[in-house]
Amino acid sequence: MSGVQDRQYQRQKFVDKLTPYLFISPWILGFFFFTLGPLVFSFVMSFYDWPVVGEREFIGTQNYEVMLTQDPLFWDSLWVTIKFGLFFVPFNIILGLLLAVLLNQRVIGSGIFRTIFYLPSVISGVALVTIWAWIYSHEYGILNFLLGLAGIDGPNWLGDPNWALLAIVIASLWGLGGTMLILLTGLQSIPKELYEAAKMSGVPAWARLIFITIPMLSPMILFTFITSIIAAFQQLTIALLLTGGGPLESTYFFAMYIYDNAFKHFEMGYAAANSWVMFLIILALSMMVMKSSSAWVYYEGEMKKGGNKDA
Amino acid sequence: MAGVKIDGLEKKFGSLRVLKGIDLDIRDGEFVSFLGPSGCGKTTLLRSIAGLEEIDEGQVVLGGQPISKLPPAKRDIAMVFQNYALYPHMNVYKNLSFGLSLNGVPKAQIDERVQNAARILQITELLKRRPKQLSGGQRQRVAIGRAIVRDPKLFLLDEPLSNLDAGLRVTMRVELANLHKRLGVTMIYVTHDQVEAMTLSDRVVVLDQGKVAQFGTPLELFYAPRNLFVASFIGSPKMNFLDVSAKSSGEKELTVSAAGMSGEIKVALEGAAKDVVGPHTLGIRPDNIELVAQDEAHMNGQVLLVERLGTESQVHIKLENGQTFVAIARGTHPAATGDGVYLKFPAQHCHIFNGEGQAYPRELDAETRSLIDRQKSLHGAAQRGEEK
Ligand SMILES: Nc1ncnc2c1ncn2[C@@H]1O[C@H](COP(=O)(O)OP(=O)(O)O)[C@@H](O)[C@H]1O
Ligand SMILES: [Mg+2]
Repeated sequence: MSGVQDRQYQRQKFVDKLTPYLFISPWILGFFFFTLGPLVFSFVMSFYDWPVVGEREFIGTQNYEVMLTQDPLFWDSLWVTIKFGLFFVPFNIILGLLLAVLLNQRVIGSGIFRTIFYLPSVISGVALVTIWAWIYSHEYGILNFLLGLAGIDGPNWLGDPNWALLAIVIASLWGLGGTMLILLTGLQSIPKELYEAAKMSGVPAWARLIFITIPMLSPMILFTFITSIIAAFQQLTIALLLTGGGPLESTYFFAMYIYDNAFKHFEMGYAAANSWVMFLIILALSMMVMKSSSAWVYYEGEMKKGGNKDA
Repeated sequence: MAGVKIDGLEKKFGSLRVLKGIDLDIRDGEFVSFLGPSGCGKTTLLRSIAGLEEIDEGQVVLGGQPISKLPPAKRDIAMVFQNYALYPHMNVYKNLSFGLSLNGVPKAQIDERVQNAARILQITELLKRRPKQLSGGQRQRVAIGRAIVRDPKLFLLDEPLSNLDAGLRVTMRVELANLHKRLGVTMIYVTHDQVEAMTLSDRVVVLDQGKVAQFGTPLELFYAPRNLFVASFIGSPKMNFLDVSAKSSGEKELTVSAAGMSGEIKVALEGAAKDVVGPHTLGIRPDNIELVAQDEAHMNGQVLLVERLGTESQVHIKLENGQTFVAIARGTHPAATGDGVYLKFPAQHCHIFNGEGQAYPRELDAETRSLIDRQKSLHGAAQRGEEK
């Protein structure tokens, strides 16, 4: 091979190797600048007293100590968020599943219903909140109007500490179209022969749901379980705009607490520490769920350990 | 155990008529195949019997009881699906017992039935495995086992062997035949593979675009096809067809002639065929065409290709009218591409079809006749326990 040809060959080889990286470079750059960068930066920040204006000062783990031992708002907002999650997560999954099962029936107009149920998920949060503010309004709200027709004296949904959190749970569930869509996709990938075989051997509909649909859907359920937990912890927009955390801080979510520390009290370092605690909590919960999944999630390609493998 | 009677069954998908008036009478304990090209409605007919498709017209009667209006679970029918339809998240034992346990069968009895089915199918060691951990043949057995444990009146099998490789298919075919003998239950078997249908069945239903083209024993279909469709569908390589003109030349005889054919062929028929005249189709199977000397021949042609299979040679011949015929000659026949050859169509092997494609039942030789009759009575004999 001549020298020129050899050089050309080497160059071509180099270009071939480089090409894939060029293709993914926009994502890589975005990841470094907008995800990994801020992540590392906020971690560093969390060890500083970092006001928006003025001197920043390294204070070690003091932010964390204060948060855990001297700041009742931290615990209160965490508790509100957990209460919210305890309602939101199961209802999000169960209602999403029920809707998906209903829409999976071959009925006329199921396409239209699918769109209708998914619509709230694409409406902007602010518009959604405006609608809900109107629904929940104590005196002029449609909800209390309807309850009134039934002879029930509706509560002050957003003004009563006993009801406000529930009102936000309901408003948040408005967006379960995403969950529904994921589960619906899962449902449609279950071979229909499984149901036909079950039907022929006299397995009733409820048993088909429990013993076939849910196990076959379990990977999707796991996925929505984890994303619902994350969504619950990050709940901010609806509460911020609908109740502003009130009344009596009954809807003062953890995310709002972080938001206030950062943008009301301008304690960026403290807010960064809050965020890292939230991240660790979500991480721990997700890991617990993942860990439990081997007991209840059925994976298509799985070979159980200990099973005979000489097939 | 029970026979199946189907009367005037019609099924439409939207405006598409898929089953166009099916009438069948399947006897108790019989093994019947539905055979036909893909899309002819075999699966739909099977699913209609199972109750998985609602039928538009007609009646299905199982063991004297009309079942068309019953839900699938109440029909006492078990079905084996083409893709097995095993529950992937349950082990083999659960797959077999699932239906039973939800129908209130006592645990001890379930276990007995599962163990029994597993023994019959030799899958006892596999009971703890998941379907993913099984080979294709083993999955097929489990699918059949799921039908056996229910002890149904009727087995339906939709192309159960089509996902297996060729070798396994032959093995499973034999096992299925044995299983049928052992259980003695009525079985309906859907296939597009004529070898499966011919080897397994007591009788075969040939379906053509949603209609029964013929319902008969395997040898009847082969030696006495009722119409052009059955004649061309059954047998491999296919029957050769030639446009001819035919006329009655006796009480039970047709004489056919064609352009480019030297001489005439007189075909003896089983029934009377008076006043027949006009264009017809002559059919002759490749192994019945004789390659002869010029003076004995009906037609001549040129060899296009010779496929040598060892025991036989398949000779593709271009006739003068442009048509291609396949003739089967002995393995060492010297024919070579480009050779001129002379073809003889022995009258006793000729099938004649009228303008509508219906066959004139031809006179069969004594040997063939008695074979067909024996096959017809075999099933009855097996029922009475005389066979082995
Ligand atoms: N669920 C259905 N909806 C509409 N058309 C169908 C449906 N099932 C089958 N068909 C049509 O009915 C015809 C017969 O199908 P099928 O019974 O599956 O044929 P086979 O099993 O003989 O291959 C085909 O034309 C097929 O496209
Ligand atoms: Mg089919």
